[in-house]
Amino acid sequence: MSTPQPILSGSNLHKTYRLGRAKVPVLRGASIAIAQGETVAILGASGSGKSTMLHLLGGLDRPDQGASSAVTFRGRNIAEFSESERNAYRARDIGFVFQFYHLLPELNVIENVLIAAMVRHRHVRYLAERRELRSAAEHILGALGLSSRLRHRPVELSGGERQRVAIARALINRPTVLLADEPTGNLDRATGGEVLDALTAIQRERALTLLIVTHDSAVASRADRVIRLRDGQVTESTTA
Amino acid sequence: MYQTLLSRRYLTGKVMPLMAALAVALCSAMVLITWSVMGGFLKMMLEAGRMQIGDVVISWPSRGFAHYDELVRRLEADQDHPTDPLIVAASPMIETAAMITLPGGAIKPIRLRGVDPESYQRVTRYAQTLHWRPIEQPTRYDRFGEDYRLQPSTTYPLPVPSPAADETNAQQVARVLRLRNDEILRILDRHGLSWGLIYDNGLSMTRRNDDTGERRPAIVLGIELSRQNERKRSFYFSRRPFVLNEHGNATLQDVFLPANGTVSVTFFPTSEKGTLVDSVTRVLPVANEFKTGIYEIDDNTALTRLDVVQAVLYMNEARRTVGGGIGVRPDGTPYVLPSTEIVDPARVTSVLVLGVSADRLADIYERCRAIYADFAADHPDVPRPEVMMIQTWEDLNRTFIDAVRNEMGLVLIVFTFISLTAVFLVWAIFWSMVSEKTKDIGILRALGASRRGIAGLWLSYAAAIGLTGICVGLLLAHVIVWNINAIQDTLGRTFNIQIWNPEVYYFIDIPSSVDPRSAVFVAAGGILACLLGALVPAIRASRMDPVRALRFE
Repeated sequence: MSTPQPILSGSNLHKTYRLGRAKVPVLRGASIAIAQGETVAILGASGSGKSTMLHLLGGLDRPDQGASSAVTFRGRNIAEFSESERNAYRARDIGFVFQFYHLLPELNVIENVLIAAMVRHRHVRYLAERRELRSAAEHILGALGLSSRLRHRPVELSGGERQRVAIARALINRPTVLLADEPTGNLDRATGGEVLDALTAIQRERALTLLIVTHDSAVASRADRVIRLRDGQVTESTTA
Repeated sequence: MYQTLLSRRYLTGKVMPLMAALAVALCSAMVLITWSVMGGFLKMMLEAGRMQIGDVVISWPSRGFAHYDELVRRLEADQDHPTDPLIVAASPMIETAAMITLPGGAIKPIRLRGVDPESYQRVTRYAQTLHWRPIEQPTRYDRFGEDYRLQPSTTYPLPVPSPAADETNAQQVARVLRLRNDEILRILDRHGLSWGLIYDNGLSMTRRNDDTGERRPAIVLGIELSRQNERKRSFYFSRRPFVLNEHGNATLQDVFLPANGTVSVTFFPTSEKGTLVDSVTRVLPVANEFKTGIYEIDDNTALTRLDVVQAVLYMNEARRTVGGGIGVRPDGTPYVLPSTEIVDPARVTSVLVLGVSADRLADIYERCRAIYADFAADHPDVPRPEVMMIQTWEDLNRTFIDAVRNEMGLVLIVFTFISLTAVFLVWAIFWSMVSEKTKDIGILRALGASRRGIAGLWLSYAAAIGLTGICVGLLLAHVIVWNINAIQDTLGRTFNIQIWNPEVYYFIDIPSSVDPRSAVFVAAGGILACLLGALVPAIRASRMDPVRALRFE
């Protein structure tokens, strides 16, 4: 049986942050490969480099300059992307879900979802497709149980509702890969379970590639594969 | 697209950007108000200058020059120019200094102009400046219709209402005004006058003698000259019920100048060498009063008929005999010497010329020079063309006009510099807002927004603030400029503050119109200032590391 070609991979990733004069290495040669439609959990303690790996894979940050560090999407090294290609990669191919939701407080629920479509499409195209996009946003929010909350501001929503809005925003541009950084980290267990159920359902329905970063082994247990990260290095990769 | 949405939400969701918009509004309003008033002042000056003397003045002061009626004919014949007629009308004038003695005994120096009423009206807007005339609608600020001129004397006697027990304030005002108007109308009625007749008197510069019924040459005074007219808060002129004597004491009177008022004018004829020959005093009835709106003119100028001034200044046609007398022959017998009668033609000091358009001033000037040169060639007794003073109204007022232009430029530069504080205010507010919205910037970058898009967000936000501020500022400026005279009036009445002193600024009313081009320029400048203020914060926002921005607390 041949190994499927990974859609997204990071090889020999290094990342060092500077704190004043001190250099803090966060990733030290970590490698990861994720196949199309796979759900992968990165499990690790706080400070192990999970979020940094997610940022590198999502094109939000760049690995340290090194001969062999590379993030590859569909076989192309994203380091070779131009600035506009990198922006398009984040807007079109990747969806981010953050631990603290990161919704825009001035916008209501539907606007928070549509803003991702506005960023992706240029002005004219967005206006041309705004009915379809709005309908799509309403559909996703409906599927996530938020039909009655479209006009509410983030401050008027519960933590679980906010995270579901963030998931809807990540999905509106129909990305290939969804990167979730501790999506239940700020929620109680029951709410977190509901959010994970919703994520899993959407992943199956859309055949999404899902990468979840978590320190909770119960969350990780839902994934097809679990990668353990320790001190910036992958120590174990287990398949469910 | 997201820039538009977020700009709108940031603008309405925070107090700080509204403060920035307010700063832009105040600065743009300040610049536009200054520009409008100063620009309006200059425009009024230019228009008023032309309105008073036409486009070109051909003058030989004091001594005057002869054959002016022929010069006027030659100038007006330019209307028949085969290809390019430039001159519309011409009018002779004598301008001289005189002293006037007003009712009550007050004496003041004036500039007296002797004019031919008919041609003077063609060259200047004299007819429109005559103040005492029938009017059908109250003037702009005359809310209660207090202006005398609204009521024809033919309705006299008016029933004078007595105060009612339940009289309201408005009814009381109306009743008091009716009583006051009655007093004037009673004077008009006593002399068989109406506003229409007084207007006609002004046009002809004559007034009918009540006793003989003959029309006599009369004088037309500037509206501020006699101090008999009180400019009311509602911007109409009311007759003072008293006069000031030479000691400044007030005496009650029953005179309304255009109806039964007379003044004494003392003229000072000079010799050919310019020395004082004599002084001549004439009592002249007042035909009407004029209001040019230029305080200096309205306060110290009077007009009367040209022939009156020519006569008293010895500038009218005179016949003299040269030679004659008794001679003695060598043999001792007397004989009568031959004599010749010489006619000294009448003279004027100026001929005013009105051209087809103020835009062709240079051409009109050149045409006047050419016509005068031909005229002088035929008349050796007039000043040579090279020494004759031929000036445009701009030349005559150049020093003053240039001073006002420079002053306007200087004030605008100063206010523009002051307005630059708005740029720094916008800068500070945007710097603070970019810091506050760091996480939003990180989110948008995570969603795929480009650096340029982020910069565009803040610049479009600045443009929105600028546009809001400019709209408010322009509206504010228009409201203030349109009502600037009423505002001054209210300030004067409430706090006794006079912003616009007509004795300093020449015009009685503050210019109250906004030039659309100035408004567009100020609007563009305001938005540009906002963009300039937001530029550095926008660049800062665009350069933010998205990962750091997302972690920002």
